[in-house]
Amino acid sequence: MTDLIQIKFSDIEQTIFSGSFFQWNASDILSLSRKLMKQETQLQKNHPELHPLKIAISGTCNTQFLTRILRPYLYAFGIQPLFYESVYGGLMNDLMNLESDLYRFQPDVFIVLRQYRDLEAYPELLSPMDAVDDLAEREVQSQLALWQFFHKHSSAQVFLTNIAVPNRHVLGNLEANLVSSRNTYLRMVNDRFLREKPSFIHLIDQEAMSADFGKDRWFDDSAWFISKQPFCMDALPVMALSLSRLTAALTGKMKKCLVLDLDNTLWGGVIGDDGLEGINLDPNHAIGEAYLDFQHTLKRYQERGVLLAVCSKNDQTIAEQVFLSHPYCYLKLQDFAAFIANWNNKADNLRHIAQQLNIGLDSLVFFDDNPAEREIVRSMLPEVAVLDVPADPAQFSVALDKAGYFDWLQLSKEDLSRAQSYAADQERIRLSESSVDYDAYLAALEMDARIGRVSRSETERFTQLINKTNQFNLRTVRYSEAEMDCLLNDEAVYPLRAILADKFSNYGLISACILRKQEGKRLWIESWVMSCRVFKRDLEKAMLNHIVAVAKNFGCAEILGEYIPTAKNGYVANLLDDLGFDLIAEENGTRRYSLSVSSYVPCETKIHVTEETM
Amino acid sequence: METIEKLQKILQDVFDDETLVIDEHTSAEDIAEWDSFSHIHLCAAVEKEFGIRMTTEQAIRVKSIQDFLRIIEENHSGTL
Repeated sequence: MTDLIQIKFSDIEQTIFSGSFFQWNASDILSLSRKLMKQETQLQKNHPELHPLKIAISGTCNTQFLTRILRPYLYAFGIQPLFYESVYGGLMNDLMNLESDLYRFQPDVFIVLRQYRDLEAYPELLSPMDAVDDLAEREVQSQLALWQFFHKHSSAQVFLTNIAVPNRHVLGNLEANLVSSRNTYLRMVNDRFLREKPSFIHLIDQEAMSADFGKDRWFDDSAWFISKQPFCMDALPVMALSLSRLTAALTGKMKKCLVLDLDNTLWGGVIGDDGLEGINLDPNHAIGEAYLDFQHTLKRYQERGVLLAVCSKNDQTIAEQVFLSHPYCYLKLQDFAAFIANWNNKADNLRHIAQQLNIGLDSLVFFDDNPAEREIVRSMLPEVAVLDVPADPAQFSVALDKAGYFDWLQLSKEDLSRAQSYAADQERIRLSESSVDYDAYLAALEMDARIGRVSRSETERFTQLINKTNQFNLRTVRYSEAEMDCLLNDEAVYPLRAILADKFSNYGLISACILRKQEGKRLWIESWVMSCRVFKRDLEKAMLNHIVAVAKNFGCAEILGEYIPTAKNGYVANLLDDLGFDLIAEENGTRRYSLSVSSYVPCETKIHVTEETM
Repeated sequence: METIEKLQKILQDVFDDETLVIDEHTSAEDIAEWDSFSHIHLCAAVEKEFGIRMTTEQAIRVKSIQDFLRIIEENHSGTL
């Protein structure tokens, strides 16, 4: 038992924000949460950086325990929750009745726990495949109809669990052999829901969670009969961790880059001492195979858009040699977006990597087998996530997956091509070194841009970009997909996007801007973001030309812009000044600007722009 | 630590009251905050601390420290 009773406020604060309670058992976390609730106002006062979020929780079960346990987890992820809980059994009324407390609450996120007990109809035994399919289709359609209704009246993102297939096997092994068995049917319902779900619904993978946890422990029928809990008490922290991580992802807090050590992390042994022949990557040796398997896992992370970087105490040329000429080394130099091998301290090197990749320190995850290095990074760079690396390399892959740092809500085409894009950066750097001046370099890049209204098929990426961009972001407004839907259908709004390519890579959609026509012939730049991948290309100038054209089209005489400072958007502090706007007001660091449409002189750039119809 | 001392600590934690003092006659009626929610929390905490698993019957009937002491004893005499 954790010694909770004597714990002071500052300790509670420390326990919560360090996430050290993640290791505790459920009843201790419930007690912690109770203490937290008593001092919540103080905690919020001490942490103005917290992101407030309205979270509704419901299900066909008792959700009190989950809500109670979620609270400290959400704080640990930088979220200040305001909760609404449906009364037990109140989900349907809440959803169907527009006067319900749920709609009045106007949640940002709606968490809904589903379970196999929700299903009323199952296929008759020995039903043929198409009859089972039909039933599953009807089940899914009736649920989707409910959610579409909800979506029409709420801008909330929905976190809906899929169904955990229970440890019930009335048919014994036949459960797996008959399409009409209950467990087969539940899997089909899960699959069909996945195939047909709209993008505002994010499935929470309760089926995988329960399987990893162990179904015989996950399901606690006694807890169901006594207090209508859908799974055992010990499973609550598992569910809470996953939900709070995904909620954090919703607010743009995501990890983007995995920084790796080399010796005894990517191979067995020390390259500087053991040499190419001495390190272990031998596919016929258990330890060598473990490191190789980890390299394969890392490659899959890289392919899903996670940047890989090296930060190692080594001689750069000796370290690179492994990737260039070791016969069994699976990862290659070009798989890494950054590669730093030197004898400086790792905290400095991590700062350097973040800078080089143009991402925040808080989007780095550090993976090093050496506990001393991990401790240094933890204490010197608290923003960097440091993975508790197991001693046994055979456990590296699972440890990385389980840590869940790269639990994103969406995956876009841009994510997938990111790694290649960083490789092209290296070539671009070489080009810039050979160019006489910056203008010559920009011209040599042979940039092509398409600037115009965002299309239907681009809206997902458009929303994602707005919600995760921190640096080039004038006002740091975040929108849910539902809010974005409203916006895109608003005739007074012009959602502008830019797509850029140069001779080395196609960046895809890398800038988004929301323009709103206002009273008094004004065009308001409600939001403007740009990916750090394309900074300093003059794309903002080419976009401003288009913004002015939009203003003219709307009959506006003036364009209004605003800069709201955050900890991360210093890059655009002077953007509007540089673009020729006039500063008209300043309050608490927030600056308002105006640009006259009639006196605007179009900006010259080195970008070949394909104008699109408005 | 005596079983009853451990129980006292658990109750202090669950009800977040470090001044709470119990004896074997303390029951749900003596503690205003002993509601259905904290009842489940309390049972879970006792199960964790003593490494026992209560039956459904025990979990719904337990209403006093005496009940807990009996359940803990029964569980332990069964396994030891």
